[in-house]
Order: sequence, then C-alpha cells, then structure tokens
Amino acid sequence: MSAINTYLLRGASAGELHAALVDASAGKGRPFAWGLDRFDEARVRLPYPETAPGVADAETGELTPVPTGSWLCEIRLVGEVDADLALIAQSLVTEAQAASG
Amino acid sequence: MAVAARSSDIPVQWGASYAPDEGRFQTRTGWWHPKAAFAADFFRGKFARGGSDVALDSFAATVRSSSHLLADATGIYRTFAPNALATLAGVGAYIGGQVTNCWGSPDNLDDTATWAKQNTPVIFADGDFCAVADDSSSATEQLLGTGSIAANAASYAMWVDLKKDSENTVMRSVTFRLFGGTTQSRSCAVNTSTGAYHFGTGNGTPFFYDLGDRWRVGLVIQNNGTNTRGDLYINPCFNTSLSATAADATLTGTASFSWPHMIAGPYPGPRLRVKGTRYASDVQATNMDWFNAAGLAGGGAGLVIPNWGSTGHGVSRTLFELSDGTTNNLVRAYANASDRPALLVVAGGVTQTDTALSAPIALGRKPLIFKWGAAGGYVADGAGNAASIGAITLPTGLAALRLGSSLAGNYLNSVLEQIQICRAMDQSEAQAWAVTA
Repeated sequence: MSAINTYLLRGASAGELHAALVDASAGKGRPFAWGLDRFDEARVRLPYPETAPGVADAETGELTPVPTGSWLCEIRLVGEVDADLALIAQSLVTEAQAASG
Repeated sequence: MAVAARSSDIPVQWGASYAPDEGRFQTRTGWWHPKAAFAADFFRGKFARGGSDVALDSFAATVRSSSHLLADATGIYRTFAPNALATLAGVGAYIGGQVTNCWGSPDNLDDTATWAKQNTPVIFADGDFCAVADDSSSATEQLLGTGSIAANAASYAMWVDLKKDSENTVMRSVTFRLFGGTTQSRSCAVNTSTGAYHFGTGNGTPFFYDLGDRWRVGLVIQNNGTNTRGDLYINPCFNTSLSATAADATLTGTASFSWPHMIAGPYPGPRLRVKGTRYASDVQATNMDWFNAAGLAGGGAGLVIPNWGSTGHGVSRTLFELSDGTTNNLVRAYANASDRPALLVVAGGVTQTDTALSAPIALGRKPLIFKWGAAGGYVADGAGNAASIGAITLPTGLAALRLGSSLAGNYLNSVLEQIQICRAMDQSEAQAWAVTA
C-alpha cells in the first residue's frame, strides 16, 4: 500500500498559488496546474480561504470562523514525493492510505 | 438556478438493463457490439479491447488522490482506495469532479470543533447515525454545525439523513442557513415515522428522498454573495405539528441523524467519508493500439449508457473525449450546460461541429449514440431523437481517450454504465442498439 504525501501551500491569493504550482510543474509529465486557472483536480485540492478555528459564542454556542486573509491548497500524491513542492510547501504530511475522501 | 433532481449516487433503477449481446439485433460474436473496438460494461464488470476481454486494471487507469465511497445497488456504501475507479457490478462507474464537505466530522456530531451544542443535547453513536437527545422539558436542545464559505455567488447542496423510526409523533427539524451577511435559510420538519415533511418558506430549492433506512432532506441554494458561513441546525424534538413555525421547548426525545454534507455545486453527490475533499477521478484508457487498428482515425461512433443521477448542473458534463493531448484536436461527447447531449469536434484548433440534440437528458440510464466522420455524423438517443452533422474536417493525432471527463475538466458527475467506441455505423443500426441496450 502506497503512502500518501500531502503538501500544504499558503499564498496571498488563489492566483499566487496557481502560479506557484505552474512553476512546480515545469518538466513534469502531469502538471499540477496549467493555463489561466486550471488545476489538476485529481491531485490538487482547489485553493480555499484560510480561516482560524471558530470560537463558540457563550450564549448561543454559535461558531464563527475567522478568515486570516491567506489562501491554502493541498497537493496530495499517492506513492510519490516531489522535491519542487517540498521547497515551497508550508508542511508535508505523510500517511498510509487512509480513509479520507 | 440549477436544480438537483435527486440524490446522484444511488443508481436509478427503473430502466431495464440488458447485456450488450442481448439486443435483438446484435450478433453473438462477443458481449460487445460487433463493431466495437473498445468496450466497457461497468454495470457488469466486463471490459474488451480489440476483440478480446481484458481486466479493468489493464483497460483503464484512474488518478484520484483520495478514497471514494459509492453505494451499491442495495444502498450499502463501498470504499474504493485512492487511484481505484469507483465501479460496482449492478451500478456502474461513478466519475466525478472534486468535492469538499464544508462541515467537519459528519460522522461524529459530538465533535464540538464543528457542532455546537445549544442547551446541552446528549449525543451518542447509533450505528451509521448519531443520536441527538433532547432530555430537557424546559429548553429547546439542538446542534449547530458551521462551515466557512466564500462570499460569492456559488451554489451549494446541503443535506442530512434522518433515521427512520416507528410510532413517533414528535417532528424532527433541520434548518439550512447561509449566514454572515444577508441571511438565507430554509427549514424542514420531518415525521421520521411516516416520511411526511414540510419545508417552510425561505430560500433555495429543497429536496427529500426515501433511501431505505433513512430520509434524506436537503437544500440547493445559491449564496447571495454576502454570506460567509454555511450552517445546519439539528433539532431532534421540534413540535407535534409539521407546519409549526417554532419549537416546543417542553418536548423531549431522541432522533438519529447521519452524514451532514455541504458541498459546492448545485447538486448532491456521493457522500464523503470524513471532513475533507474527495478528489476528482481522471479515467483514461491505458492503451490506444485498438484505435488505429480499427481504422477509427477516419471516424467512428460512440455508444454510451450514462445513468443520470441528477440534471440541471448548469455546466457541461463529459461522457468521453478522444484527443491528441491538447484541445486543438478532439472528439468530445457530452451533455451541454443546458442538459442536451452534444458532440464537439475540433480539428487543428478549429471547431468543426458542436451539435446538440433538442431533447434534453433525463434521469436514469439513457443510451446515447455519437457518430463522427468526414462525411458527417449524428447525435441520437434511444427515444428516436436525432441531430445530423454535416461534412467536417477530422481531427488528427487522436491518441488519448478520457472517460467521464475532458482536458478542461467538465466531469460527468454521474454513473457511467457502458461505453463502446465502434467503427462508424448507420443511424438506424445505432438506434436499434439504443432501443435494446
């Protein structure tokens, strides 16, 4: 069973993350991102706004997530490592094939 | 706004299924159509290429960096590992795009990171469900789940399953809400014994399904551009009246809920296993030798049986795409953004045809036929509808076949039961196949 490597990228915008992944795709047979806004949806979680954990309101219990202003995306590779991604990733998590999805 | 028609991961059962060789007009040289060079019958787990049966592993390759759940014909979910096509005999192959659940821990409503308890309801496991108990006769006890969304005009499908019970007279209630700006919401009260339900006035397009041991209640809603949260209120003891507008705090009791989902997109899909993302399934033929060997560079035909689990997505959905690896030369069979079966042919970067049927797709297994050639072709369905294509310049260098997606994405987001790429055939022959397929 192959390990799964998840690279977390953080950027100021979705466009910045796209540009970083286009650069990291150079010379690779299957790109992480290409064109104006295309991502490899089979391996890249589309960029999403980062939020801080919600804090429950003392009276109502309502949780309110707080946007940080940054954007995140995750590149998840099955049985592969990528040195270019490792250079730009905020973190790398390696796990056995798990029940995600 | 696009409208979800039904849960898209439970196969539609009302259409009879026949093996490809059971049609009255087929020969019995194999289970595939006599003119097929590439044939996949996902419904029966049969695959053939160039006149020989092959195993799925050597027939098509799937890239998907997450596992995948798919319900079998009895509604039981099966798990598929990363990079494994989600396909089941008696169902077909589900090929879909990327989906993320905005709500965390859908399998554990006791996880306070996502699910806030209001007036301390008691939560405990109940098989595939989480039981929520209101044990106070002086307060309304409920749960509130919250997920972040962008303040734009995106659509979302939100749903939760309620376990069936018996002889219950207390209505359960759920409220779907977009919050943080100009609030949008809609509530539904459910009698989990009888399946009677009542949606109150509000926003979005509601849906309600009977899924065997559970009721699925949901809403498709488009953010008005201001809201930053997607919320779900779960109230196990709402009122004794379906049409009540307020909870009765004196009621006590327990109800069980399962797998709340809030996903981007105007339709529900296969459920996710935990909070997180189910990545897209990219499915490609592993070998294309059969293509030129059968003379298909000069044109061909595609016989396809999708089992449409939902309609009204508002975006195109690909059945198959032959290409040279770019968008400059391709043959794409798809349902367009208006739900019309269509054939797109591009040669040398120039669109040769983009022809659609006037009759839209409908739920269930619906055979479709697409033919392309230098002298023209057609798009046809099994109900006798057809659209002709005139003479075109054919694309060159076709060397890749994608199933259920295109180079541009446009995932099928539904079940593919069967696909056969054949030598060209007359419209009458193709429609005869469609009648018995």
